[in-house]
Amino acid sequence: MKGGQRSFGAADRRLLPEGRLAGPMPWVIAIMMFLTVIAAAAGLGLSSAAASLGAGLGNRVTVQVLEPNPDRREAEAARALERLRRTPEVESVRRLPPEEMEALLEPWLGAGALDGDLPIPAMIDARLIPGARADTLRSAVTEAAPSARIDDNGQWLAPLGRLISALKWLALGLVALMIGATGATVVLAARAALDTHRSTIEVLHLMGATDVQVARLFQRRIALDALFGGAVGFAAAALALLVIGRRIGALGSDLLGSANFTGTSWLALTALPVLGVGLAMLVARATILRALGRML
Amino acid sequence: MPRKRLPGFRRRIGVVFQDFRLVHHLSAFDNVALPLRVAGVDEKDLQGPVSEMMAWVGLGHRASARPATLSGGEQQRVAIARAVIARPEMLVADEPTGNVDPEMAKRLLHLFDSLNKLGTTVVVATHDLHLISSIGRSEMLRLDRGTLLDPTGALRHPPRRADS
Repeated sequence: MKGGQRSFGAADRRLLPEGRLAGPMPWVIAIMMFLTVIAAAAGLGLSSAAASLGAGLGNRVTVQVLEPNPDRREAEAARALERLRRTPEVESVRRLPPEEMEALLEPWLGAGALDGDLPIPAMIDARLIPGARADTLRSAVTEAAPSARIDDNGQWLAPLGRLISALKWLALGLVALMIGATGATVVLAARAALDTHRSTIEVLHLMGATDVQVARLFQRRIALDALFGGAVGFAAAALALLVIGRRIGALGSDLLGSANFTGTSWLALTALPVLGVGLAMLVARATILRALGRML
Repeated sequence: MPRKRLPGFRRRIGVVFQDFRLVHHLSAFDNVALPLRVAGVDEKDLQGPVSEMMAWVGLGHRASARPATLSGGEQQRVAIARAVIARPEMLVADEPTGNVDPEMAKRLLHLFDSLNKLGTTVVVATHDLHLISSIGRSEMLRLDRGTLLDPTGALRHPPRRADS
């Protein structure tokens, strides 16, 4: 006979009346988990979008050689290309081939735009090394090709990047708030459960039950409620995310499509209900032990 | 006493409350088994002693009944069985025979007496002096509004009056 910190064993389930899901707590946790997963997914998606934006376009410059005379345009384009290749800040550089140019212009000018007399600028796409600034290229390129115009993609993407970053932090803030609200819900549920079962707790105490033994009864009950709520909330959120993902995919937008989910993102989201159960157990235990400490 | 030591101390004391304080959603069997479960006794080890105790207090056939379906006397016997099942060092009983018939009252007092012979200190609060007098070795003390009036046990052996 050891007693001490042991649980009541198989009789645990019978010591507290009412089945699981008797109160609103599992459903409140389900709603909280749904919102937490959606907010976390938004945060992860926006992080992914910000990263791919930075990697895809943010460190790129586009050089347009605007010279109307085709021969001089070709000569300027070749000199600009050569100069860019020799510039240390440039990681890679390529001139857009005619097929690619035609594909780009087709929505506006129709098929065969390059075959007519319309002067089409030569386009050069350059990828800079991380941290390099497009301003440093400007003088070198215009020296080689006076009619060249340099478009810094990072410059016009910066406000969008800042917006995405702000939204990402907002989403993470919402996740933190949801976690706090879930903890507060568990505190209230634990206190309500203690009040409901006060007479049983008094008898258990009089029989010599320790606070830890009594706390385990409630901890187990609350963990089961949190597990149910977490699973339901996560399943609903995952379904919503899959539907939204399909809708975004159908739009064919590169920007929205860049907010994609990797396996790691899904793993992080799956960890949320598990962490939720752990949080609920810890909060319930701390709340109950504190309340029991004030009882005789 | 430090709070940490209270559980261990309480396990050494069995208490029969006047209002029984049974756990209403547990069966009579589970109520009686409660002190053993609190003490961490394995389920297989407590079935026998609890069943035996239930039979001893005459409730073997009502083991699965909830307290609400038991009469006052039956509830009292469950409360007594619960108080003594773990063989406490001290038993405190508040009016333990108040709701039982005279025959059962004698059986319960016999149980208390047996526990006392095994080393348990038994403290019974009662208004039934006649019943307590039937146990020869007992000390009888009178409490009046929280004050012990005859700490020498003079209630059992009142001093002779000078004129008698």
